[in-house]
Amino acid sequence: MYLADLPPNAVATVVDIVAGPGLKARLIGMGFVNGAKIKVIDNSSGHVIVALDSGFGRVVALSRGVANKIIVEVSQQS
Amino acid sequence: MSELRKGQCDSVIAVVGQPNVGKSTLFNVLTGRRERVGNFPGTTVAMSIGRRRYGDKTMCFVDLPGIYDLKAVSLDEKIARDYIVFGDWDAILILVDLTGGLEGLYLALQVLQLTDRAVVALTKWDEVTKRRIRVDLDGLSRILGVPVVPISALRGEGIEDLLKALESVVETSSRKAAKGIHIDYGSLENTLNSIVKEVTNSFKSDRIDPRGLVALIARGNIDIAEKIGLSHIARVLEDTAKSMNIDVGEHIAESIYRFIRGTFTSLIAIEPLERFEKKGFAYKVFGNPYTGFVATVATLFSAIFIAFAVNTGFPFTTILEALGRSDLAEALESYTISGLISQAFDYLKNWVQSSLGSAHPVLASLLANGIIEGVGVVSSFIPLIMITMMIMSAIEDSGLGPLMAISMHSLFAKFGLSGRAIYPLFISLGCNVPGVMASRAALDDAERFEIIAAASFIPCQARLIVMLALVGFLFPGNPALQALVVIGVYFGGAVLYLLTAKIFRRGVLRVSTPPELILELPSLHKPSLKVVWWDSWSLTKHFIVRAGTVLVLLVAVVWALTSFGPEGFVEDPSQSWASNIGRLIGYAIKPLYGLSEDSSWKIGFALLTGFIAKENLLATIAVMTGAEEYQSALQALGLTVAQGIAILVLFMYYVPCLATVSMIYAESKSIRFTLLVVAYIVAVALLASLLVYGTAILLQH
Repeated sequence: MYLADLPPNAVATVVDIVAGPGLKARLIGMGFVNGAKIKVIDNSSGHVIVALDSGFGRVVALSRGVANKIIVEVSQQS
Repeated sequence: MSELRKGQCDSVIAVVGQPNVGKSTLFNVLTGRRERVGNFPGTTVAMSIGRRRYGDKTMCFVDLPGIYDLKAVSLDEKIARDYIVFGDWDAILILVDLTGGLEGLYLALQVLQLTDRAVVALTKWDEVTKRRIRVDLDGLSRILGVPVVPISALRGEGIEDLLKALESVVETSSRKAAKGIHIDYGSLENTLNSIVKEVTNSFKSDRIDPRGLVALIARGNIDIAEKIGLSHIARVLEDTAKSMNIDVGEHIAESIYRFIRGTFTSLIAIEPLERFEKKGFAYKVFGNPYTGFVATVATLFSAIFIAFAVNTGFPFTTILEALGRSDLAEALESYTISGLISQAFDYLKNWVQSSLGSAHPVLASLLANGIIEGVGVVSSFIPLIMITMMIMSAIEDSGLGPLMAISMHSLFAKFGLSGRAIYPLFISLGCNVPGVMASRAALDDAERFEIIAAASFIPCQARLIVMLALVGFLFPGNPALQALVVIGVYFGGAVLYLLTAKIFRRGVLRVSTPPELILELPSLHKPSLKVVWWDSWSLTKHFIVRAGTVLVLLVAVVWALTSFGPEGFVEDPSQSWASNIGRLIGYAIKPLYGLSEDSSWKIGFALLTGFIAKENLLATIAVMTGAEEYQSALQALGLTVAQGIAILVLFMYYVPCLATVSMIYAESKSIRFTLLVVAYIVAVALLASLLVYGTAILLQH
C-alpha cells in the first residue's frame, strides 16, 4: 500500500521507498526510513500531510508524486 | 581556512543544524552580525562567520548551511559535510530542535559519530517546556558523550552556559584524539571494521574518529573515500551490498534511526503518535485546497497593498488623480517614504547644480545627474525592499509560509514551480526588484533561477501607471474595455511568468521532472519582531551592497550617454548618444508596427529611458512631443488603436528595468545568465506585442 492511498488519521509503518537516490536521501533525512511510524494528518488534495514517529513534532507535506513512492503497512486505523 | 586563524580567531566553531532549527536566531543573539570571509573551498558559496568575545578570547562561529542529512546530495549538504570532515575547526556546535521530534537527533548523531569535540544545544527551550516535553538532560549528555545545553535564543537564555561549554570543549579537546559515539551496524560491522583500519592509516586527523568517517562513507559519501585516496572502498561496499543483498547506505540510516528510537524514547517523554492531531484555525483554512488558495492570495495581496501604500501612496494617489484631485494626490505622495527620499535627493541635486552649475557645468551634471541620481535611485528602493522583505520574513517566521506554499503547489507544479513561487509573483506586482530577490524562497536552485528569469513579466506599479494612461487614451469613455485590457495585461504577465519558468526549467536548467514538494510544516506562532528585523535587514543590506553598486554604476553610464553626443557635452538629451540609440531602436520597430518616422524614434527613445525606470516611458514621450500632459502627448504620436495596444503590450513586458537587471545579476551571480534573461524577455515581449498587433488588425477588418 502506498502512503498516498491512506485516509486521514491512519497510522502506518514505512516499509520501503521506491525513488531515485536523491529523493530517497531527502526523505530519509527527514525521517522517512524503514520502520518509521507515521500518521496521516490530511490527504485531501494535491498533497499528503504526515506526522512522523515522534508524535509531537515533525509534520511534513509531501506532494502526491512523492507520497506515491513510499510503501507503507497499515498498523491501525481510527 | 587558516585565514580564520590569522583573522583574530582564538577558536573556530562550526555551527550545524537542520532547517527550522533556529540557527540564524541563535547566530544573531550569539554574534550580533555575520561577515563574509570568502567562499567555502572549491565553491562559490559564501562562507560567513560571526565573532563573540568570551573572557579574553575571540570565538569565531562558522555558519554552515541548514541540512537534514550528512549524505551529500545537494551543494549545501556537501559544503556542511566537507567542512565538518576536512575543515580547520576546534569544536562543532550542533543545534537540535526537540519540538521537531526525535528525528532532529538524526543529524546530531551523524556528526557525533565523527567527533566528540562538540556541544549539543537544544533550541527553542521555552517552547519545549511549554509543551511539557520532559527531557533528561544528564542522561542525554551521558549517552551523547558531549555537553548538552538547553537554550532559548530569543530570550537570551542559556547563552552563557553554551559559551562556557564550548570553551571547555575547545580547551580540553586538543589533548586527545576525538572519539565518536558508537552505533551498532549489525551485519555490516565486519565490513566496516575492515575499512576502519585502512582509513586510520591513510587519513590522519585527530578531530575525526575513523569509525565515524567509515560510517559516513558507507552512508553514501563515496567521494570522501576518493578524496582520502581510498577509492577502492567503493568496490568493497558494493561487494558487501551484493553478497548481503542490502542497500548499505539505507542500512546505515535505518540503524541510526533505530538507535534514536531505542535509546532516547526513555530520556525524552513524547506523546504517542496515535494521539497527535494538527489543530488550529489557520491550519484548517490554509490546509484546504480551496479556502487555502483564496486565503493565500488574500493574505499576500493585502500585505503587498499595505507595503506600497506606506511607501508610495499607491493606489490612493492614482484614485485621487482619477477623481480629478491631482493636488491631493501630489500632497499625499510627497509625504510617503519614497516621496520624502526623492525630495531630499532633489534638494541635493539642486544645491549641486546651483553652486557648481555655472563654473563647471559638466562636473555639476555628473555629480547631480550621474552620481547623486544613482545613489538616490538606490535609496528610494531601500524602504520598499525593507518593507516587502519584512512581510515575507514575518510570513515565514510565523510558519504560515509553508502552508501557503502547499495550497498553491498543485497549480504551480504544472509549470515547473513549487507553491513557494507565489511570493515572488505577488511581490513583483509592486516592484520587480524585491520580486527577484524573493526567489530565495524557492525550494532549490533550479526553481530559484526559473523565478529570477520569470519575475520581470509581472507588471509592476510603475508600469501600471503607464498602462492606465495608455488605456485611458486608447479607449476614452469606455471604462469596461479599459478594465478588460488592464486585467488582460496582468493575466498575460502571470501566464508569461509561469511559461517562462517552465521554459527555463526544461531548456536552460535541463530539469525534466516536476518539482516535488517535501516541506516541513513548522508549528504556527506569532512572528518574532527580532527575527523579522534581522532577516529583512540582512536582505536589504544584500541589495544595497550587491545590486546597489551595479545600479549606481549603470546610472552613471546612462548619464554619460544622455549628456554627451557627437558634439561633446550637450544640455539637450535629444542631441545625445542616447537619442541616437533611441533612433536606432525606432528604426528597428518602425516597419514592425507601420509607425510614422517621427513617432517611431520618439517611442524608441522612450523605450530606452523606460529601461532606466519604467515611469520614464510616459515622461519621455511628454518631453519629446512637448505636450503638457500625457493624453495630448500620446495624441501627438498619432497611433491607431491597433498600434496603441501593441505598443502598450511592448511597454508592459519589453525589458526588466535597470534596477531589476542589477538584481538579476546580484542574485544569479552570472553575467551570462543575466544577458540571456534580458535577451529572452525582449524577444518574448516583441513577439507578444506583434501577435497582439496582428490580432487587433484582423479584428478591425
